[in-house]
Amino acid sequence: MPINPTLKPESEANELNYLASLIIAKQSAKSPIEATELLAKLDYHGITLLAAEHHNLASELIPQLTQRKAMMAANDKLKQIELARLFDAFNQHRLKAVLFKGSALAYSVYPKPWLRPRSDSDVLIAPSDRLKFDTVLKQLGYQKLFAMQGKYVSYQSTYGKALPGDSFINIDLHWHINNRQMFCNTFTVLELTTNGSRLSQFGTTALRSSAVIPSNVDSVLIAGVHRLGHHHDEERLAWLYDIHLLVSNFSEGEWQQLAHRAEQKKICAITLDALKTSNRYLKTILDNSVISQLERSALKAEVSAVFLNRTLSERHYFWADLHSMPDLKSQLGFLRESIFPPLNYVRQQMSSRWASIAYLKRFYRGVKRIF
Amino acid sequence: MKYQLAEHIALTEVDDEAVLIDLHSGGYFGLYHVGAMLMSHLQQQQTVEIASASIAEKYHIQHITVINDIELLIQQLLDQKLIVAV
Repeated sequence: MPINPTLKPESEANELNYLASLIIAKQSAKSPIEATELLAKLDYHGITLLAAEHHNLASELIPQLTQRKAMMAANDKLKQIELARLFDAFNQHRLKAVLFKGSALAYSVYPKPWLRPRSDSDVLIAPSDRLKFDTVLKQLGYQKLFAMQGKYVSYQSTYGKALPGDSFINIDLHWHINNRQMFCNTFTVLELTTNGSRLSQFGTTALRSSAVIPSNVDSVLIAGVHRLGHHHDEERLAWLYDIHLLVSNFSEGEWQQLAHRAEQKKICAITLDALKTSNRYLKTILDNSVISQLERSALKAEVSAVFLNRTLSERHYFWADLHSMPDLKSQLGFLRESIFPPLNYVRQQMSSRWASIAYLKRFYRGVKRIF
Repeated sequence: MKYQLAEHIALTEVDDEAVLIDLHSGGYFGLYHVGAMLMSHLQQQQTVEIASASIAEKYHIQHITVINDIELLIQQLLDQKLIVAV
């Protein structure tokens, strides 16, 4: 049976179609949404400035958008300088790191980096290098932000640093590509570095840095995994537009590579869903033979296909995730950390001075997530 | 007379506009069409006279009018310490 893109209710799909038309079509129907509400929806989808690039949005929004464009461009410049400094420091310490997701795409496939909003910059490192990166980041004035710590429950730490003015940069340091057990080893730094390229090779990029970014093929696969694995309950047009831009310039060879690598990594179904959804809303041109190949491969049972069903409760994903772990020891470790997180994390997360109450509340949440 | 960006100022182009960013304070200064065009000329180490002649030609305006406006803008940029004379 062919796999259909994860479908949305009709009204939601119509709205998505309208918003998508604002970033792909030269002209679109008169806005059925009032200006302030439209701005809120565009912001949610991360496509406000993209839409403003393509269309004359409501006149009452123009002053606000002009101001925002200048602010985003200025802010982006400050972040570019900081990212270049950061990657220079990594290189000086001979540390391998890959800039991926939003920031990597903003500087490689977007015509202007500030058109791709992002709250942080994602950096993938080897698990064994965590301490070295922590040292370099702290030397550069970054502070590690408080987050869940454990061997299995999270594979990332966020480091923040204030930039001039009110700007702030957050670096999400990942030692596995995804926090889901099922996807955490889908890509390694070595693999992404081998297939990737240096950001400085992109003629149009504003960030003249030696940072390495994944190949466009790997970026599509990562985007597909991120879309369903990390955000199974939401559909944001910015993420689909990433995929749209990436595959729009694919050569025949890159399409073949995409199919081959999706098969190798057993993520055909979710990759196919990402491509078809991008086609559905953004009219992305796809390679039909590769789509057929992915459709055939997706028929083989892939554990990751559980994420295609976006209406399941978190516990379904949790158990699928748990079963994908390689051995009983790690499964037990994951279960333990999910139910009994560290006490200091619980105190902060539950905003309660009463540790025992906070812990019980978190324990209840953990159990509810699992059973 | 030639001018260049002050050491702590970065410039980024935004469509046919430009934004000057103070790398110390994070403050920014937007320059619309003519201002952005002027900065582009100054970045190419052209004199204010050559830059204003080029702008006057592009917009079909008398050179003297452009020179006056540009001198006002240059003074503003100098006052804000965004550019320095070379």
